[in-house]
Amino acid sequence: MIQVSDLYYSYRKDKGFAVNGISFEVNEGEIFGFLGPNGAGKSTTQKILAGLLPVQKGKIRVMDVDVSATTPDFYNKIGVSFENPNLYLKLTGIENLEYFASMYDVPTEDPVHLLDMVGLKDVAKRRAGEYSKGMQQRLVFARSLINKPKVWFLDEPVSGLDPSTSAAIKELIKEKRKEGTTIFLTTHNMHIADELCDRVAFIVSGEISLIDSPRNLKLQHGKKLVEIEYRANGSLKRDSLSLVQNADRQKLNSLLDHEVIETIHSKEATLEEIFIKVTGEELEK
Amino acid sequence: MRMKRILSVFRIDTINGIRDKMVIYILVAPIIFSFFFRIIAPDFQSLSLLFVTLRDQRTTLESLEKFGSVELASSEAELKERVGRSDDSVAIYKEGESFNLFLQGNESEEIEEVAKIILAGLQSDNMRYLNFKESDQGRFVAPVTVFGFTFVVIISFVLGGMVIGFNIIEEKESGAMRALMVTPIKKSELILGRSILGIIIPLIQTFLAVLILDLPTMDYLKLIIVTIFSSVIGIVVGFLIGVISSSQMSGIANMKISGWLLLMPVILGFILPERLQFIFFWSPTYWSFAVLKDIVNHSINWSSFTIQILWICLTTAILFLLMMSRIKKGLQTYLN
Ligand SMILES: Nc1ncnc2c1ncn2[C@@H]1O[C@H](COP(=O)(O)OP(=O)(O)O)[C@@H](O)[C@H]1O
Ligand SMILES: [Mg+2]
Repeated sequence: MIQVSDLYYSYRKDKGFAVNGISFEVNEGEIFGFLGPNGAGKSTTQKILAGLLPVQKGKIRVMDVDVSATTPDFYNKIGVSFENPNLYLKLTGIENLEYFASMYDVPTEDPVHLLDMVGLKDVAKRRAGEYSKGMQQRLVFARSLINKPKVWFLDEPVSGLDPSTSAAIKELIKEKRKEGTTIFLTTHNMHIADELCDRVAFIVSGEISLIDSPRNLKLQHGKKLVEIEYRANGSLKRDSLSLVQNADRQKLNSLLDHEVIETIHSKEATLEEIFIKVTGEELEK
Repeated sequence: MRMKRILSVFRIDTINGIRDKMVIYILVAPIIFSFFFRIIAPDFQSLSLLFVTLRDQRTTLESLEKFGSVELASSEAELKERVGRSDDSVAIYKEGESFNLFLQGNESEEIEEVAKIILAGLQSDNMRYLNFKESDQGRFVAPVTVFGFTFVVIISFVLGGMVIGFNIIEEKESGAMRALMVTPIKKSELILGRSILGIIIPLIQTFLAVLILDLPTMDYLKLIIVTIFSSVIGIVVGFLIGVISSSQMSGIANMKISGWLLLMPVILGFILPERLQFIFFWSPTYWSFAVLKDIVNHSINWSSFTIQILWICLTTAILFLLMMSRIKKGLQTYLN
């Protein structure tokens, strides 16, 4: 559904690349996640895929359309949700949706239904400028569904949302996947990637270091770990140690023998830990 | 090109404008100006005019009777003697094909003004001027009203552009533009839809100015045509300001500069003598001013009207070509 090869992008005429030679493919009907810290180049990639930034170098095909030569019809089939709320603040929630609905040549969703789905039905007639940031974000999210897109781009769809709203949005995303929508999603949150994505790409500094399903990653990298808290020289220390690597096993033994252990429990490796291990970078900086 | 999208852009820009205090101020300004000019315009109606003409000139007599009382003299000598008396009387009579105006020299300025306007009306072939309806009897358009009217109409072009500029700046600041760019709307549809407001606003404000300034009947068709053609420069400047300004503040600063550039030819055009006016020939608003003035004064025929409209088009096109690279460059960053 999406094929990207050797994509580069620089905001500053070749001095430093925000996207530095990435290649990947997104299959029809899957949720493909871009997982990486802030500034990794996720939003930049999404903007290029959606035709908002030019293709400086590389090849991109979305639904077999070359993105550097898009037609209006291309936009009838894609939906784009943005990281930062970008709404007409003087228009009401419903007016925002109606306006965008009027742009399409294909059947569109009922704006009231969309607002209901994201819990904004009660404030449909209030101006978007009066919404909280979270409400604005949900409106942007709802807007991206207005044309029943076949390919759906979501930039940090739940970041900054409270847990219950975030859960509702996640359910919606899963539902759309069931309906066959192909979804490209960016996030710096490993839980999102883990829960939603069929496959994730780890991206740091504009480069992809691996692409795989969260399950495979955990099978490959997810050796049993032990989280241990102990007292040494009067201060509390914390460590995670692998149960299979020799160095870690020896360290664990010596801790058990020589230190005062406060807590100890075994734990699966999380996507975040795998991320740190593979890329050497943390997700939250 | 889809009409649906074009009208939708127009509709949303209108709603956005109505909900913006700044835009409301912008739209109210010309109305206030109109009232101001209405108040400071001398009231020629209150003048009691006394004309003298020759006994055998029936048509002249009939024309003059519409504006005041008329006395008749048998000869030119008697006529001049009559004007020489102490009251403010004015002699207007026909000599061959043209009309003569004879004044004593100590009449009030207003009377002299009116006499000249009537003379101009009689002399021009445009007899409509003298065919006022009953209700328009004795009505003259004072030069200050002509200035006020052209001024108000021309600021409405500039203000129409400003509304466009503000809408663009806001879309840029909120990022809503980016969302629009991932819909099927074409640039041409967006530009067209956005331009409608730049034509409608001047049309409404021109209509209001006619009402408020209580102008006598004029050639409304020509007025509408010149308003539409002249709006284009406002729209072009509005787009330019919109794409080059990064915030409302810089937008306002840019609007001040361009606003003065567009209005200056109108103000100076009124003050400077005819022979110096060529220095404004580059300005579309100068040509709009010239046409509007003539329309109000009932002294323009279709052929010279057409030529002036062509001047408006030509100067607008030249300025547009000069600004095009800036607008294109601005549009690029605006779209990104
Ligand atoms: N408009 C811009 N102009 C210049 N640099 C930018 C711009 N947008 C993003 N960048 C830079 O490009 C890099 C990637 O940014 P972005 O794609 O937004 O990352 P992410 O979405 O992964 O947080 C960052 O170093 C960021 O500072
Ligand atoms: Mg981002």
